[in-house]
Amino acid sequence: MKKCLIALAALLLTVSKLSAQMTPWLQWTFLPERTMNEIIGETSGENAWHVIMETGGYDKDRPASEYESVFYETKFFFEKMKEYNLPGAELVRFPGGETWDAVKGELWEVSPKRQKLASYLDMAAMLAQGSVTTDATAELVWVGLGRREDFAGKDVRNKIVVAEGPTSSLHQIACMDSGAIGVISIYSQRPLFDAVQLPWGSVRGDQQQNRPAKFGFQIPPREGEYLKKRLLAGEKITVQAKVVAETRKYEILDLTCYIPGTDPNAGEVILSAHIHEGYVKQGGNDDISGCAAILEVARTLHTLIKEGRIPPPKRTIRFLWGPEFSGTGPWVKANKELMKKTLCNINMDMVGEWLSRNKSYMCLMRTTYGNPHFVNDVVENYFRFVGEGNQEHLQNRSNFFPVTHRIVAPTGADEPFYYSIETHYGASDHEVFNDWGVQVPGIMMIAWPDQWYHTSGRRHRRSERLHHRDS
Amino acid sequence: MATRIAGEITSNATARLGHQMVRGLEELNKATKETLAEAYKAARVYLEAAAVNEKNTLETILQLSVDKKRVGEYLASTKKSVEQITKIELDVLERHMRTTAEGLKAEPVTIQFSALEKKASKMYPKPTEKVKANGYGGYREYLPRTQTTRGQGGSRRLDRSELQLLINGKNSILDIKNMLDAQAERRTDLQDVMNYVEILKTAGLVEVK
Repeated sequence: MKKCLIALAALLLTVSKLSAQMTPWLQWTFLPERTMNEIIGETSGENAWHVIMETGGYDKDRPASEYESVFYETKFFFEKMKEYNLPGAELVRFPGGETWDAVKGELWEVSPKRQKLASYLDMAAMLAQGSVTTDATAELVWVGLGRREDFAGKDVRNKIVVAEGPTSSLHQIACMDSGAIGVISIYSQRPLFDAVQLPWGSVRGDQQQNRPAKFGFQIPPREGEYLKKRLLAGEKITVQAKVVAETRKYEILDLTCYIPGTDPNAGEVILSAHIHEGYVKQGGNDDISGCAAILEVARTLHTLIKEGRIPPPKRTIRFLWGPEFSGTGPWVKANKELMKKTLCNINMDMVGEWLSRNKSYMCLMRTTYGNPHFVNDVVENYFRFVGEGNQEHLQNRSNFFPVTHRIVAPTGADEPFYYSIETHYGASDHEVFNDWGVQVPGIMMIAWPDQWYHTSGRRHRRSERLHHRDS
Repeated sequence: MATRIAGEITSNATARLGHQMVRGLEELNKATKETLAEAYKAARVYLEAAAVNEKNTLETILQLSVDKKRVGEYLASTKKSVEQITKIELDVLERHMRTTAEGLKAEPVTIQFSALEKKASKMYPKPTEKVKANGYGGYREYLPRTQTTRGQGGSRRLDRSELQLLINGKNSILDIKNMLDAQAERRTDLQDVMNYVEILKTAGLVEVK
């Protein structure tokens, strides 16, 4: 992450003023070497990683009181902003809505053995979101991949269906269409890569026909395989499912602060990252890592400017944290006048991966032809500086420092900065800025592919990696 | 700083244009006698659309410049350089097309436009003030609720978000279709673009000249 942070902090100063086939000892940026050295030295990947671990280390069972006041992550980031004395630190509220929240979710085998099969307390993703309050005991029935054709000739009424299919479609076919009282999915997108990884599943009722959802449990492939084998062997298994779920009201909470520019008429640059994807579905990498990254950028620039180590920027650099889309959208809509003088948006989404272990690249997703902007090439410049400078080239092997501009946190990943310059992709907060009604060119930085994308693993599994990585 | 960034854009543009050229060459390499004309047309579109994007990107540098006249002159000459690079690469495509045609025992392609393309090339949609009047997503309230029928501008393959952004009063409807094609794996139906622009026009979100 430190490498990513350097690239971001440096490009901000460029925008706000302060080669592949290249000679392997020549790297450059738009900023003087002295300024780059200050940025590289002040930026702390470790500090950013600490923030990730504090706010995204595992899936927290959020207490009901958080929904009525301020979410833990929001509060933590706000306190950090105040601790760093970041100018304009503000918590902004918008109307929210209602959301599902689990109080309890336990699945126990009661016959022929007595053993726990799944628990919300163990892994929040074990209980499908949308599951309703239940206390039911029933026999299990195996339906293979859980497709509609797999149900042929099987009576699942008043039973609990087990399958290797995704929870949502399994619940639809089994419970809404076939009379089952609940489902257990042992589905995983990457069972061979990570056998304890669970997707974030959900179940839905039929509101039009006033038919509520039932419940869904999810068991990781490692344990699910045992259940599958027993059912395929013809064993008759009875389980008890206990679910307590609530509907909670919430407010949308955004955070902002800024580094003031010297020329208020020169425009602004906005950095964004999403602090929530959901309130039960949480994410250390997606996207607490982006939130931690831009917080560290804000701290770095503020410290350097305050101490006179770099000049203040000409243009204001603004920072925005909020729930993905649902928090960014209202804030942008409420700041229509500010959008008129905003040059561009830089969105950071899932930037905390240990690249080699995740088999990924740090990608720059450019703007489209409909939103052309120089920010694409400014960022590419810094990606190249960090990428080429942290790679040992064969031509340099005899040099005392074969890696010309090595950037690594004390316990971070000492590896190349694998990067890729890509064409546009949306599906994150930069699309709010790219919207036709806003037209502020927005780019995204993202580590992709992601071997833990939208799964339980994006928290604790990743955090293990983050502990060692290039934070 | 402005001119330094312009230099970076130009440097990267040469690589990006080169990528579009080889993409076009591959279109020609896989063409048959029957598809050669369409392949050549697509190959030129990739390059020409990319060149427009590079020049538009250079234009944005003016946001940074204090001395707008000096930087403006620099950008004007830099854009000419981009045009020259594009011209050279279009020449390469033409040469490759002629060689390919010879191998396929086909006539060299003379690009011809359909009646629809001719019509679309003369239509220049421009956004109205209603587009940004209500900020993020605000324009949607003027649009009809369902646009699901293919041929009514509601094709699932139509990238409406990008199409809208390409409406700037300078791009013709044909230009817009070409810029969509250059950025996507699948080609966009020109009639779909025409229909969707008509929907936007009816909604008062664009004017067409």
